[in-house]
Amino acid sequence: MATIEAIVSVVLVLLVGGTAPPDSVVGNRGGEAQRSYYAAVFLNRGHVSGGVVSNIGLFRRSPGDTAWSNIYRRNLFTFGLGLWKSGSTTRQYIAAGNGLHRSVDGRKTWRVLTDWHTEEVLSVALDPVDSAVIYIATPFGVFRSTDDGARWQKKMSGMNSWFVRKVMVDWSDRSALFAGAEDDLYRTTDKGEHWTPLHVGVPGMEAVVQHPADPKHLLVGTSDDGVRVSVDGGKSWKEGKGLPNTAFYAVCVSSDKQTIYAGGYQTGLWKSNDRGFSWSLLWQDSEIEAIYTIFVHPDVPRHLMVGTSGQGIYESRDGGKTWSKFGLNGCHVKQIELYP
Amino acid sequence: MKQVTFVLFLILAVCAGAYAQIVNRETYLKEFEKRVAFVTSVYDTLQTPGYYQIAVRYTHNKEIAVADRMFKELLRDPRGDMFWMIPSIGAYLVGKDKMSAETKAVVRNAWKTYAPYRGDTENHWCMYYSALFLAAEQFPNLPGSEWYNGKSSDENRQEAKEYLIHWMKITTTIGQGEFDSPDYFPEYAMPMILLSHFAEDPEMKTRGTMMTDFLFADFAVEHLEGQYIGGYSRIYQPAVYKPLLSPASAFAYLYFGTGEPTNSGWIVLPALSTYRLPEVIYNIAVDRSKTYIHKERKRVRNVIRFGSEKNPPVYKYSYVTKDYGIGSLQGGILQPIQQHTWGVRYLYGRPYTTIFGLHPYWSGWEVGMFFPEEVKTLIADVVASKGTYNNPDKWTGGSPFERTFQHKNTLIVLYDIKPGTTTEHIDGFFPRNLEERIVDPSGWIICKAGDTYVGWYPLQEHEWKEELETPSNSLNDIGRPQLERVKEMGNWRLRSYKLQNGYVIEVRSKDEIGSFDRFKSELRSHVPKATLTPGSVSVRYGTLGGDKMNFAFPEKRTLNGKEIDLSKTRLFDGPFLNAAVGSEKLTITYKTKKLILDFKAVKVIE
Repeated sequence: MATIEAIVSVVLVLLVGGTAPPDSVVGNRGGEAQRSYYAAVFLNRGHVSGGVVSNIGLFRRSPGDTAWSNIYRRNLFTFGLGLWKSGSTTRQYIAAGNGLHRSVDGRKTWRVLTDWHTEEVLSVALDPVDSAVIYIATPFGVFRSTDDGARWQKKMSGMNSWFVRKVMVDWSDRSALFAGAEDDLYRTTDKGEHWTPLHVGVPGMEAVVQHPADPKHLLVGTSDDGVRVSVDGGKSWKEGKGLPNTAFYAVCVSSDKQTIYAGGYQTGLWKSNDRGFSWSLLWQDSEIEAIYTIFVHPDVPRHLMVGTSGQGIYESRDGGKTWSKFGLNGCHVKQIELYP
Repeated sequence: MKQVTFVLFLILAVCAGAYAQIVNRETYLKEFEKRVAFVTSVYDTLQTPGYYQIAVRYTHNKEIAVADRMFKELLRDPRGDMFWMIPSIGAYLVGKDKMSAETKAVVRNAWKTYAPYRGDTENHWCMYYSALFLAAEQFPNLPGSEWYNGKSSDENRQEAKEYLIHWMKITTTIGQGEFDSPDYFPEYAMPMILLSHFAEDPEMKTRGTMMTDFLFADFAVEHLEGQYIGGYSRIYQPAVYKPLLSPASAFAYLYFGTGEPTNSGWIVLPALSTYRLPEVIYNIAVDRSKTYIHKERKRVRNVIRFGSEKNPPVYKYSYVTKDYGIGSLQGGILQPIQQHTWGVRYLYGRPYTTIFGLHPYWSGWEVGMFFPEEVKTLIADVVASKGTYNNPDKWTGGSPFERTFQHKNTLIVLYDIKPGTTTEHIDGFFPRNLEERIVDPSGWIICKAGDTYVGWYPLQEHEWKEELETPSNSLNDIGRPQLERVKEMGNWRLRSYKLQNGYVIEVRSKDEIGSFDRFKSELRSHVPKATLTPGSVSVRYGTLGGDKMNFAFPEKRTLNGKEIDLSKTRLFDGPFLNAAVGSEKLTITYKTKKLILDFKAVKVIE
């Protein structure tokens, strides 16, 4: 267990638009030359469990690379990534179809932390201070480990459905978490012991975002009803105006904290400059079936990427005006990150 | 020479007639060994590298160097996840005392460097954890750095054991999830047989044997000359209409001596194992001297959303005679994608030995119930591996708008389909090789399949489509062309576009009713009365057997005035198999013989 005090340099990346780290954390990320892009590839439609075609797992694209390389398990259905960093200690996590994987040695070796009790791990959330505390979202609820992944306990008290797509630590209070479930968004203030529904008003939480500048500003992408916004910590919710009533899998706050992006099933990419209350279409490409994830470069807010279903990654370096393919064609890309 | 032997064997097998003869234990075991020799006969000369080729060479003590070379070659780039784990650990276990030290080291290294995926279904987990358990026993006391998943030998063995015991417990208390699958039977039988033969842990060895017995007993009681009968959790095309193509039929050949001789790879490792089918199960599989009703309770695959219960019950009813079996599940979505809700299977007219119907339904809601991916993109994901899923002409799949009511050899199926649903029609499968398919003025469609007679009374207007099986339309669910047998006859499709719909099925054998003419005559005087309006779909019917069946969609079933309560269905209930829900104890009975599989005590009582 590594409990870190004082200045915590945590890069906590929890699926699409996960908990935003404090400013100082972003500043600690280092220069472009030391970082690579990582992509969680969930599926390539040519791949089936037990099949011979394998083109999924964890991919990396380093500066100077012209293509992505699979760096971990070409047969791993990968839902998401997480990174915990403090000083020289780095722990990388992969939320995958067969459990939560962790590497503590710079991705040289990995261990599957979960066992047969958990099925797919759909997202991972990490305590920003205590690396031994880990949360995972699964189709059968939220699980928590307080001993560095050795043992897991299901934490569902207060929840009315068991399918949880996202779990996310409140960046303003590490005892508090959000869980995006089948029926509602839930919040706990005691590390998952008890959950309270936030009554979003529509079901199917697909994306959960807490604004990095305002912990009470929440946004959820839903499975059928666009994006919903709350600016009072979930006490009241409003519909994002202008969006189609369909699934929004990705919501992301720009690194300059001014713009919010959203995308989903046959939606194209949308943007809002008024905290998510109204939206306009930024870009649409008929080739793209769905946007699963949105990435905004932490230092260059005009540099965007989207991970799609079956069309890999698209990139824009001009704030979304023009786009080009950025590799992994054929893949479902669930998360894109820039890691040291 | 081997080809000549094979042809002679085939001729002998075919000449033996349609029925398997019950033989005594001594003869059974002798014939079993002959089948083992036949199954394995081609594998020790095949030059293409493969785990079965390797396993047979080691077992036959033949060309050990070739087996070693093949093993090393295959392990240069392992593929296949749990479908790699089972054959590779099987080949290792049969050959570990014969292979070279170098080959052993290569095998060991594969379990360190190749990371098989655990998968997302019950059969995946069963194979994965069985193979992992056996591998962890074979490579003990190693730290996590020596295993693909970072866990030590002890951790892997313990986790695998825990899962397998959990799976056995749930299967013997509320039923198997991927139950009675003609296509997925091997994925359970193979790992259990390997445990039975090779587990060093005495408990797991016993459990492996007991679970193999359990699976075979479950198959035997719904078996007819190599065919699995009744409703199934999962089946592929084209096996759904050519039943003997299913891998379970290969097991029927090896263990029951029925169906068609085959060298199927699915039965190679079982053939090399020490597992022997208990006599009582063999007898149940082949003795069709008496007609019987068998009922079962299974469970729905894990429901992850859009439901309030993780594993709702499945109720299965089968009626079995020496000529045919008719069986059904209660209807609704019980399994994703490949459910087979009901069917008649009979002896006549191979390979098309079945008549069945369905509502060819698909939806994001259905697959979203069982798979965690985003619902709106999930259909395309599923279609990538199960190519027929969103095909309106498909022959597999359940529907939330379909329900059944079976009593003996009479079945009522009703549909109340919501407008806009995929699809807005129902289909019936009728083989073209039927001797008779009479569209009678009474409304009955009357079929003759040898000594099996099937009556189908459509409750709504319908049309017929003739469909020859050609390479272009004979793709199976995973897109592989079925190039063999494409010259065969194909089928007739009965299609009805009415949303409130249904049919009544009556099946009789010649022995049961005397003649086809009498069957026709009886049907003409038994016409169902139906109400078919949206939200109110029901039928009243007096069966050929003199019973009164009233069925109102979706769940009101009344037999001779008494309401049927399916929730009282036992885990197994029939003349041969009996078990209470939650009991973990299966009693297998044949005449005076009895075998009790007590999973709580991990004990077999004879």
